[in-house]
Formats: sequence, C-alpha cells, structure tokens
Amino acid sequence: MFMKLVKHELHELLRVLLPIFGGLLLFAGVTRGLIWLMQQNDNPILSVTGGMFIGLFFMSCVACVILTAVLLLVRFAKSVHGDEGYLTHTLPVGVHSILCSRLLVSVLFLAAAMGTAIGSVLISTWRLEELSEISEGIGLLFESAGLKSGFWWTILASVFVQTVTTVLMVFAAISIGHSFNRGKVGFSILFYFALNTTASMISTILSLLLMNTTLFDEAAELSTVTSSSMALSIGMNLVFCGVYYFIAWIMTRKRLNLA
Amino acid sequence: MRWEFHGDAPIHAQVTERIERMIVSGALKPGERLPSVRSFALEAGINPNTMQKALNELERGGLIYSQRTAGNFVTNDPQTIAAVRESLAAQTIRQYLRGMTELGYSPEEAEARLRAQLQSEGGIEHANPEL
Amino acid sequence: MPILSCENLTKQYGAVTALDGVNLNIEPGRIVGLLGPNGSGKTTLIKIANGLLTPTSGRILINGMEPGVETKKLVSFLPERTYLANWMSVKQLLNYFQDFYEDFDRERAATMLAHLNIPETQRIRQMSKGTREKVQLILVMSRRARLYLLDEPIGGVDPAARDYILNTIIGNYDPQAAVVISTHLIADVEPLLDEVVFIQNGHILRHTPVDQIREEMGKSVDALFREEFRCL
Repeated sequence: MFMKLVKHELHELLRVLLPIFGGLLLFAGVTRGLIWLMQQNDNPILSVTGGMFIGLFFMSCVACVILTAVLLLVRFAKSVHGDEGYLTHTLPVGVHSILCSRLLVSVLFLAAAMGTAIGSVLISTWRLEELSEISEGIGLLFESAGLKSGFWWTILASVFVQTVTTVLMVFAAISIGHSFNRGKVGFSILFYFALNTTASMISTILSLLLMNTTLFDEAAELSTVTSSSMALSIGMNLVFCGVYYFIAWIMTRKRLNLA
Repeated sequence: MRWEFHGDAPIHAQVTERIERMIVSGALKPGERLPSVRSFALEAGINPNTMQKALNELERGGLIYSQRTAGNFVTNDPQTIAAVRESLAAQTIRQYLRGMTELGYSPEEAEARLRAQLQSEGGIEHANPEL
Repeated sequence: MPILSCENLTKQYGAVTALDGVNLNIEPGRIVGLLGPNGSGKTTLIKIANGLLTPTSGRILINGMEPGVETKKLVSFLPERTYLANWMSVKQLLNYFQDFYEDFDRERAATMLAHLNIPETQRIRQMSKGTREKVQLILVMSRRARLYLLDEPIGGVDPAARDYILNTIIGNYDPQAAVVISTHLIADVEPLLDEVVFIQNGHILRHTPVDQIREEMGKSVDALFREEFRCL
C-alpha cells in the first residue's frame, strides 16, 4: 500500500514538475547558445539584452527550487488536510504511510529540483577545463582547511538531513495550522515561523553550551571543529525530525479537521 | 417514471395495491413473468426489501406465484384475479362514497348524482385505471 | 452482529457537544436514513465512522472493530463535498480506486459510466457539478463494501440527477451490506428506506422502521419529521 501511495504521489507531482524541470533545462541550453553568440559578436545591444537574459536564467534556477518547494507543500496541504483528504484518509492505509509517502516524494523532488538547477547552471556555462578547475579549487579549499575528501559525504548527509528536517517542519506547521477552523493557511504560516524560531533558539543555546567543552577547545584544529559542528548539527536535526514527525502524526491522526 | 406514494399507508401496501391494479387491468397478463425484485424495485424507485414484502403479500393472496429459479409469475387463475378486481372495485366505490359524504351527499343522493353524470356524458369510457 | 454500532458515542468540539451519548446499531441488509436538521450531528457521526474524527468518549465499532485500516476496507464513503482531484480523468480515478480498494468492481463502474455516456478520458474539471456528483457516487457504489456511508448524496443536484442517484443506490442493493444515507430531503429518499434515525442536537430521537411509522401513526416519515422538528 505504501508503494502505491508513493506511486500516485510521484505521478501527480511529475505531471506538474516535469514541465518545469524540462523548461529550465531548455532555458539553460538557450542561454548557452546565447553566451556563445555573445562571444562571437561584439554587438552592444546583444550584450545588454543577453546580459539581462542570463540574469533571468539564473533567477529561474533559484525560482525552480522555490516553486518546487511551494508546489510540494500545497500538494501536502490539499491532499492531507484539504478536500482531497476525504479520499486520502478513507483509503485503507495508516497515517504513517500517508506521511512517509509524502516525505519520501517531497525529498526526492526537492533533490531533483536542486539537481536540475545545478545541472542547468552547468549546461549554460560548462566547459570541461572549467569544471576540472572548479573541482580542483574546491579540493584546494578543503585541503587548506585540513579536511579529508570524505568530507564530501558529510556535507551531502548534512544537506539531506537538513532537507528532511525542513520538509517535516513544514508538514508539522501545516498539520497544526489546519486544525483551526478558520485561517488555516495563516495559522500554518504562523506555526512555521514559530517552529523555525523555536528550533533555532534551541540550537543556539545548545551550541553555546557546547562551546566550552573540549571539542571546541581553542587549541583544537579547524578540521576537528568543522567536523564536530557538522556532526552536531546533523544530530540536532535528527532530533528535530523526530519531534516534527510526531507533531504531524498526532495532529493528522487525532486532530484532523477537514472542512 | 417513479411511482408516487401517499402518506397514509405503508409503502409496501401501496406497492401491493398498485401491482394488483396492474394485473386486474391487464397491464400484467395472466402467466406473465414479473421483473426481478431488483429491477422491479428500480422501476418503482423503492427499496428492494419493500418490493419483496409486497411480492410476498401478493403471493400469499395467490395473485402471483414464484418458481424457485425462474422468478415470479402472475397467476393463471381467472377466479383469483376476478376476486381481487371485485375487492378493488368495492374499495373504489367506498372512496367515492366517502368523498361524496364529505361534500354533504347522502348515499342515495350520491347514487342519483352518479346516474345523472353518466346520462349527461353518455356513459364514461371504460378506461383502464391509470398506471 | 451489527455492521455499525455506537456505544455512548460522544464528540465535543471545545464547548460544543456535537454527539451526546449516542447508542445506535445498524444491521446488514438495511437502508437507513439518518435524518436531522443541519448541525444535528449527522456529519460528525459519519466522519467518526470513517476515522476522520476521533470520539471524545464512548466508541464506534465497524463490524466489531474500531475505525482504522481494517475498517476502511469495509466502508465506502461519499462525503458531502467534491473531493476528487480536478485534474484527474475518469480512467485515472478508476485506476486509483482499483489500486487501493480490493473490493472495487471496475467493470460495474465502467458499465455505469458508459450508461451516462461519460468517456473515460474526460477530466473532473470538464464536468458539470451534477456529473461530478454522479461520478463520485458511481465510484463509491462500485465497491462491494459492507457499509456505505452517504453524506447528503442528493443535496444540491437537479431532479434528474437525484433520480439517477437514488436508482443507483437501489440498483446496487446488497443484502450483506448496510447503507446509511444522511439527508434533510426526506420525501425523496423515503421510498428507499427500511429504517429512519432521527437525530437532533447530538441525540438520537428515534430509530424506527419506516413501515412502523406509517402503520402505527398513519403518516409519512416526512410528515412525522416536520412535526417532531417543527419548533426548529
């Protein structure tokens, strides 16, 4: 049943998101062609309009990720707490399956959106020698900070956990907001900021407390400090994940309030 | 299309009477097979349980008979149909008289009034009851 | 065993009591009218039976089980509002129902849709309100469920659509299953009903066979309802 839920969510979101992703990649190709054209011709009008076009392209890359996030949260609100919830919650599946399928699909599509955005930037400007220069540059940066190449994985893990945490925080905020009879959207936004503020306050306090421990001794090496703080933030995010998931679950299970 | 029902009697009793009238008037012929309970209920716009109840009543009265697998059939016995016709006639006349009494006619006056009506209209057409 | 059974079922929304100690048993094979004015608790009762709300106290059992994944397999629910995603086509909806409900009889649904000349390629957003309601009802009635809960199935549709909906309910009658129809349009559904439940302010006022009302009181359910709820 869980996989069926995932299948239907994927299908529904692909329908909306695929054209967006495809459009952005196409845009990247056009931008690449334009850049080439600008390099060939020394036309002032072309360079001005081309410059604006390129600016628009980079904004679109950012917009693609934001738009994906917005569509995902609207989809969650509509299908779990909106009118479509009448169907979702009368399917013979549990609340855990419903939430986890949404979580999985949201993380997948956010990753896809970020991948598409980065891919588009690469397509628009990419030249092989530059790519290797970039990776060399990053390698040098890591080396100067005394970090090992395995650090890439720590960064990836951190981004992944951060994404999951954010998605769950949004789910929790929407689930609380929609338990009100009026102003469901307003309360959802309000609780998003409330959860966000609470989370950052807790992490700040925890960091301050841990500052004085040996881990963050002034004598400690930069690499150790960086790795430790990364690990710490991943750990904290995992705890937040659990809390947000519980909130979303309990509000959906016990306090569902469909119009 | 859907049958109309009044509020005074249970729906199954009204359905029973309606089917009796269909049989007496010839809309349902002797020996004819009745629709299945479900499609008959659909035609009438009623609960199949109610239709079944009405059919049971008709079966008890001998107006229809059921064959285990083939369904329900109208009786072939003219005497049974005639008896039902007679009782429906009596009921119709009682209704007429009740109506006339409400208008202040005595039974004799009602009878005379009916006769006068028949004469002025040259006798009403022998019509089937409305179905 | 009753297919639906409420024991002292109570639901409060803050200070408002929507259901107050409701006791009710509904047996398979019965078509039951859940009748009451707006705000009497009809929808709350149906939502609890579907697991969309949790009771404040007391309990509700579907085939002996508390609402959950297992009971959702047995209950087919028609909500008051349109809940189908606008972008979905009839075919996608049929796939969806077939995927999630083991008891979904796709062939039956396809036949009923064909009767209405609704092509499977048509999307919900292309349909009139009446057609949408019919499609929803077809999907819900095409499940071979044990309990059908229909919340205001004929509210706000034209008389032709109303007849179609009532006929669909009759045509899908199953002696193993119970049908609960919540409505305030009593005259229209009365010929369909075996029993009526009158509900007011979260209390069950009566639960009586329709025949009994007509036989003992010599009046239709509609007339009785108007009398008993006159002061409202």
